[in-house]
Amino acid sequence: MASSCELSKLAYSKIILHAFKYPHTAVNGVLLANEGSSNHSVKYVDAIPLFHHNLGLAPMLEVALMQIDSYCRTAGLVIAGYYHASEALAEMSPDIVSQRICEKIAEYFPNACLVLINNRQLAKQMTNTSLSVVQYCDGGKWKVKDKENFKILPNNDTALDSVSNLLSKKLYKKLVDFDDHLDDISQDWLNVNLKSMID
Amino acid sequence: MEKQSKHWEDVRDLFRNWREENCRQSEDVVDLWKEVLVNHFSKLGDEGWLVLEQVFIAALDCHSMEVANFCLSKLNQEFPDSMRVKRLKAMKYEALERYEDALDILDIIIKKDETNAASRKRKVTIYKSQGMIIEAIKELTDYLRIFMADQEAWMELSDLYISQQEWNKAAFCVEELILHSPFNHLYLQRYAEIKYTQGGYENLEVARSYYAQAAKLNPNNVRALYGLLLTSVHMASNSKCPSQKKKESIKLSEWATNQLSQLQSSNDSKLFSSQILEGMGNLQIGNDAKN
Repeated sequence: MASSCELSKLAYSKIILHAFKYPHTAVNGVLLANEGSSNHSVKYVDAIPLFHHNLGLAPMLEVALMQIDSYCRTAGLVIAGYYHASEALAEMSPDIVSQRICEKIAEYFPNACLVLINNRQLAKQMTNTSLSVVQYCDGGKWKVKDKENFKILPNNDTALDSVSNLLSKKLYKKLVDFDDHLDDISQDWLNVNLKSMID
Repeated sequence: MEKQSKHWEDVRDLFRNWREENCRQSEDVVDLWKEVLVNHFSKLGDEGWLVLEQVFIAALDCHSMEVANFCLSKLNQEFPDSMRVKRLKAMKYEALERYEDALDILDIIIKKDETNAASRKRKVTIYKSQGMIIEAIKELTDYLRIFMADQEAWMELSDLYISQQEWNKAAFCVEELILHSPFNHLYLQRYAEIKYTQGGYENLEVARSYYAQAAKLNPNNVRALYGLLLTSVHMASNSKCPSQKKKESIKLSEWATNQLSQLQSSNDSKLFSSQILEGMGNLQIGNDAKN
């Protein structure tokens, strides 16, 4: 029953760009899948970058999730996963906050995945996906996904080349997360402009 | 020639500005240093040393060890006995993850000069970067016993407590900050955020008041407006809330929605305030939902 987890190039690029825009803080965001997608093999089509300040506080997270949820309903998507990069270089296990958010997501989308960014592997020329994935299973357990069951579409090499290209153009400066939006409401957290540059 | 000389002066002014505002523009600092300022270093006069320190820290942030070493050796030549330069050396060890070496230097500095606040703060970050949050908290509380008026430190302590989900202690730190600056809307907003996260009806009511005050002090504080909307809608739908307060809450939520949609229309961006109301409750992550 090995279920697979796939990330689109768009979702992957946004995760990496978010980590690069705020290298000195922890960052998080949610992953979106198409509505009605099967729970066993999850395919994440998009990522929404959320915060880089105080990830542990609830109010703005709730506001963000409500807005994302309503966006999802109009776009035929569901919130189906979560990503997190910790502030410390070496930290690689999910903290309490990520676990809690991901458990909440799993109430609506069973088998939600929690994607963790490996800060040490991030480089301007990406040679490794720098991600590891754990999946929420029944009974509140977290299971680490094997590399074989985790893919970036269309394939890892293409995605790594493409994201390295975005990094060399410093496009991470253009990425907007929800915190940026709250600082300046005219900033678009859906990153529509960026999307065309990634595809 | 004329154009080029103007150019480096612009960069110098820009750097000066970033130093004063405490901006963390590390990547830009390193790039502009390499492109422009390094060739005009001698023209900077005494300001040059400040620039070197700035570039050094930025270079550590970007892990450009070549640039960092260059700056440090220049500073070391000029000020061989300076504590400030020693502290920079400790920061370099930090960047190289040689934490023990860094701590040794910092301890020597603190022994010689007990009032060296910056070095004590570096010790906190050394613990923090190794994920030793409990030790970082201890170091920082010791620090705050001596330097009680350091607002930045109270804020950091509050953040550390938040990461440990110690809401009461985190709130206490922000109370200290509010005593320092009662009209700082950001402190009021942060206090409300902590109280809301803590959960429970009483905390919800406190959060609403602080959000309201923050929004009053700065009507453009989007977080405070969203927070006010969130808390008043929760209060209006809470069974513990007396009817008088319910009415008040509904009014407040209408006002906040109004303010938000005004900000939105003046900025021409998408906002989903109406859907927020609709989606309220079923996505709650706070302690209420957990219990």
